Amino acid sequence: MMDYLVYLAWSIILLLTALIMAPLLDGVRRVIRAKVQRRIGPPVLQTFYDLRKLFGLPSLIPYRNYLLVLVPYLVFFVVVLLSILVPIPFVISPSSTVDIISFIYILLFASAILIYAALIIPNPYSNAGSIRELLLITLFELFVAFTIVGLAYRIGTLNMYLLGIRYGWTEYYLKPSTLLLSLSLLIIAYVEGAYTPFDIGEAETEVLGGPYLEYGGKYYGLLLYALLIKRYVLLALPVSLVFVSPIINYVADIFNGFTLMVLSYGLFIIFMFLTMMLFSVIEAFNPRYRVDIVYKPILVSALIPIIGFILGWFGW
Amino acid sequence: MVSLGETLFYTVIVCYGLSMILPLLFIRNYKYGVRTGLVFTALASIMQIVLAVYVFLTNTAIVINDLISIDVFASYFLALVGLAGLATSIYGLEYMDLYVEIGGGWLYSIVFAAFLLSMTLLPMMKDLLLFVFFWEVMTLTSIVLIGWEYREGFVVRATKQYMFTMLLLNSIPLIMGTCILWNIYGTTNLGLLASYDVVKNPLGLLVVLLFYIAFTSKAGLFPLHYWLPDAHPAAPSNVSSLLSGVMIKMGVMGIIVILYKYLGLPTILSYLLLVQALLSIFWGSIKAVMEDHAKRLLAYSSISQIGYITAPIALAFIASRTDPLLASIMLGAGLSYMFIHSLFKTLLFLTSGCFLYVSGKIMLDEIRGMAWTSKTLVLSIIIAGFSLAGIPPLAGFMAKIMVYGSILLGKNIVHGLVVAILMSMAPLTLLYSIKYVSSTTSLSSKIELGKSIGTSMKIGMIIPALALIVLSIVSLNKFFTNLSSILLGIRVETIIPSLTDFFYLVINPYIFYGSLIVFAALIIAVIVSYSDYKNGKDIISKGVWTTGYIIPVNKHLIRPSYYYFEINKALSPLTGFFHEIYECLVWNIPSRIVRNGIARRIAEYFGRVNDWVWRKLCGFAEKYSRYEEYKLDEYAGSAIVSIIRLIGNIARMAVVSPIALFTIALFFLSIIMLLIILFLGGWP
Repeated sequence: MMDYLVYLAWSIILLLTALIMAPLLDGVRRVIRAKVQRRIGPPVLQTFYDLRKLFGLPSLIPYRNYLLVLVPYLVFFVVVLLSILVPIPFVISPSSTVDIISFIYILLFASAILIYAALIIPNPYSNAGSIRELLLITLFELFVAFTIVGLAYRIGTLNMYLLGIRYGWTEYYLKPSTLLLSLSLLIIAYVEGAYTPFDIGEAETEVLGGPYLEYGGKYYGLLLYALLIKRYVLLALPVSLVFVSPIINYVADIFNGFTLMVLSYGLFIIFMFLTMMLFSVIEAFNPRYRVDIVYKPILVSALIPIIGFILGWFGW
Repeated sequence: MVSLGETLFYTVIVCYGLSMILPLLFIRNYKYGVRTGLVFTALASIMQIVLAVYVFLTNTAIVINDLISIDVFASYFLALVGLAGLATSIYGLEYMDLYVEIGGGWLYSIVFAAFLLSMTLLPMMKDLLLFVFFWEVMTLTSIVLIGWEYREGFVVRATKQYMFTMLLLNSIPLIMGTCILWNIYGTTNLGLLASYDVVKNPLGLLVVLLFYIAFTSKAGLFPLHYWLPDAHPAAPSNVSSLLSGVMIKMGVMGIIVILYKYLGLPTILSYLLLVQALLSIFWGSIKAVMEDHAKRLLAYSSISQIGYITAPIALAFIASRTDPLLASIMLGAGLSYMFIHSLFKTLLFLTSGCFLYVSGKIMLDEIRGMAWTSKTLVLSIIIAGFSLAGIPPLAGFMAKIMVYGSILLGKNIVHGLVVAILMSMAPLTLLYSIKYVSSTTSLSSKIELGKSIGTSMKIGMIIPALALIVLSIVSLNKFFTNLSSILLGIRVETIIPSLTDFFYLVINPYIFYGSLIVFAALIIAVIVSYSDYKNGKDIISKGVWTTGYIIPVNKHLIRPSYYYFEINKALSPLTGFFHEIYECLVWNIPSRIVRNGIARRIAEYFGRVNDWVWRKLCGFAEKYSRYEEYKLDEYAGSAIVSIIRLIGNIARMAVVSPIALFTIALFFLSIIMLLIILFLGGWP
């Protein structure tokens, strides 16, 4: 009984963390980017203000069609529920019930459903944006696939909870293959999170608009919130595996039970902010890629997980 | 004493028999001819699903006679053919009205029933000769059905290509192989053949190779797939459903049953199968992405999906010597994918038929937004299309995860590479399925069509859609794994997992929780959004944002054919090169031989003789049908006149369309064969 209560409590904590952290991380990102570019920039809580305003507005959609109403809610709830599967090491949460393939596929589902909803709207801009996003997903899948397979062969499991714990074991962690896979996980979080060189779908800088173009007010707020939580979830995967897991494994013998969980959670929050800072600095120095320019770097970068996979198989 | 299982089996046969015989009463009336036949094929399909469930529940094979026995594996195919047959038969009741001008409703019924019957009986065969016979019935009936719209140029071309290919790569190898086996071992009984080591014999190895060619060409695996994208779209849509949903699976069935189980498959051929599967996935996917014809897109998608089906099966064959448990899990994944693919591909072809029905158009650019004629159609397209793309929580997602997960259990580098390749090809599936789904359900314009989809067509689409929804809630993975362990000879007590641990066995928890999250999100989203939609105070809808243009926005939309222009541009040299090669090999060279050689003269001579015979026969029939009143006796005379009239009609049909000749031959062949089967083991 106690186990289930802990399980439930952590699920709720993780859910709330996602809801609060996602806009906060975006605020940090905006501040850091402004600082690097020597602008004054918005306050850290600006994204909260944006969302509050959007949720207060009436919703604007092109047609009164049920699909267009359903999609923002669906995308939002899927990513919110996905956030309880984040594999923070030793934190007992539903992450033990799913594998990383399902996890990635559910994330893909959120993107695909949004792309579909944007493609059925008869607006050339929103169509073009969706197709660009679709092409990016397609090209990047080679990278994702080899990373997942590499993890399976290096760590020996695909279960999210076990991955979170085992990733930091010394026999795995300080090997060239694991380092390459760690890098791959970070790159996945960056590219799939659509940070600046890869914000191909939305193309914010050109005010061209993408899948979100035809949504206004509350529904746009939902979609924006969903994007932020998606970024949080994507970032949480490498943060807990690459940064938290080795440290927490190092101290796992000293502490036990509840203390370990809290420590792990605290480390997770700290590293989320640190990694987001790293991402914002990278973002600040980059212009947006055009979709036909992005082919080559993405396909070539797939060599990182491929080499990681091969090295992992040889046990290096 | 006849058991319940046997009774069910004979009921299925009788239903199919009736659907071949009763339409003959309505030779003049097209609609009645079609409908009587299809009603009975639907009945037969229901009965065969019941039979399959019965076999699964009792878990004992029903032995009809020495030649036929229905084991659990045959029941799997019974269920697969039954579901697709039921959906397509009901759908066809109204859909076939499109082909009134072609006529010959009775003929269609006969061929359709024979086609379904042959596929039903194939997996039950325990004798190679009968297997080959029904294989030929399947091929011939499919030729007739593909060439049904025989006045269209592309249909004639596709039919000829299919006929030529099947003759060369299916009929000849199968018959030759059977003859060689008969010569060496003096038997065609599969059970006996399994006891000899066929592969050790050099001639036996040749037979295995011939069979391999026959089965892979039927399955549409990569180098021998060229007939498929032409043939499947050419047929009426409910037949296309059966071709893509069921017939290509018969090739896979042949590989599993005849080659692997009875004759023995050398490991090198298993590796070849794997390579072919991966190439099929790549080739089918990129061609489907580049395709703008809805039905051709779906046909290419079948080529790629058959790769997803055969890849785990090939790996299972490779692993079966060293690790039978792993092999059974992989084979189970393949079988599960095959079942689910059959459902959603059937449904997708049925939805494409709706566009032909309401508008006569099939290019994606032209049918844009047409799905909104019916909400059932929109829902069917979304369910089937997203299943195809493997989007959670739908059944296609379950199947895909099962395939990846099962292969990853093998700790070999080959397994890792295969999964990586499969996963990196998966978004190509997303590309073309989204192309089909989004263009057909686009909100672009309100088109007034004046014609709506019939009720029977809707019911025909609801059946596979419901099955897909059920399969996305209840995962049958454990069931399929048990099925494959029985097939591989690992003992399993019962095929149905016991009810006490239903939750942990039938519903695979590993996948289930992932789906559960999406389901939960879906339910919450539906509740919240529906109240939002109904209230609608806060929702403003003003049409799309046009950047101030006065021209209607529909005029400058991105057409579906330009969605993936970049990919088209990058890959067209490659696809063009292969297209040239295939065109030369399968079309230009054979047609040149026929046109210039002695074959043409022989064909002409036979044609002339044929014409003369039929002209005489027609004249004879007409002459007597004119003197209807001239009777010697009221009853005897009328019967004779009717028979002569019937012959005259058949003759006229035969002159009009050569495919009728095939049909008549087939019909009598099937009847004779059925009688032989029923009486050989002794009628109960």
